[in-house]
Amino acid sequence: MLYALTAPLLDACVLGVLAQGDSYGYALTQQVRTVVDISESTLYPVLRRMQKAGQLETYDRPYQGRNRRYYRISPAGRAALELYRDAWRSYRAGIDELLGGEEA
Amino acid sequence: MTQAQFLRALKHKLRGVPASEREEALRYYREYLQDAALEPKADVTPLVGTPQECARGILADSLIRQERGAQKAAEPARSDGGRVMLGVLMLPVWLIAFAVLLSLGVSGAGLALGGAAALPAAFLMVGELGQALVVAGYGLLLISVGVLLIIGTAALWRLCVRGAAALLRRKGAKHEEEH
Repeated sequence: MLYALTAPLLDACVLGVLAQGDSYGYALTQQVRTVVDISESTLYPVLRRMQKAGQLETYDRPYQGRNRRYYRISPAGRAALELYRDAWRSYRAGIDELLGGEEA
Repeated sequence: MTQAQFLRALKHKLRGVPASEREEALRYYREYLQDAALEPKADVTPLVGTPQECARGILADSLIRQERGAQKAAEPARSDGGRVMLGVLMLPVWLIAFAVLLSLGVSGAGLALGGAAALPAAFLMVGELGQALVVAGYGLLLISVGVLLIIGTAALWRLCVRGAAALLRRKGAKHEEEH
């Protein structure tokens, strides 16, 4: 992987994944890691921070005799995701322009 | 490093963090490792990294939040202008307090001295031994009351100074905030 993920983009990715459906720590991390090579320990502080900022909520569901904590995107999180999407579209368009070559 | 070792080490590295934060983090990683469904004795490092790495992110966030909180609390206490102004405005209060303390101290000293003077005088001037002893007793009483008064005054003085300092530190801040 050539390009490293910036912190805001990681936040955006987490919100994007959760917007498609609630998830839990392990599954969430694996999904993000299919695209981006983040370290395993990266995601917890990010999730915690977004939870404290009110962009995510957590709830527990029993699973195989124990509780599993799920993350759910909040309305504030959806609003933030929209901003991230707009910013990403502009950014991507700008990079494409600089790089030139075939149209995406 | 096994799952159990990892969690123990992480808990240790997070000992400086508030208990609720620490429990949240440990819970997250405990569940993460359970969901990864490893063998109980398997090495978890390829999956979650080292306890050091995990703690670092958590500590950094915690420190940033603590610093911001501490900044908010500390900033107000640095207004010199407010402090001077408050000191000047409270001048009459300082004067009264000083006068009261001074009179208390002097009274105490006076009593003690009087008592001290009475002791030899009792034996030199009073004829009868019994009466001399009584006077001497009164003298000692005066000395002790005087000394107690002096000690009390000193304590009150220290209290006033400390109270004034604390007042200036806090009130000077509020003054700054209003501006």
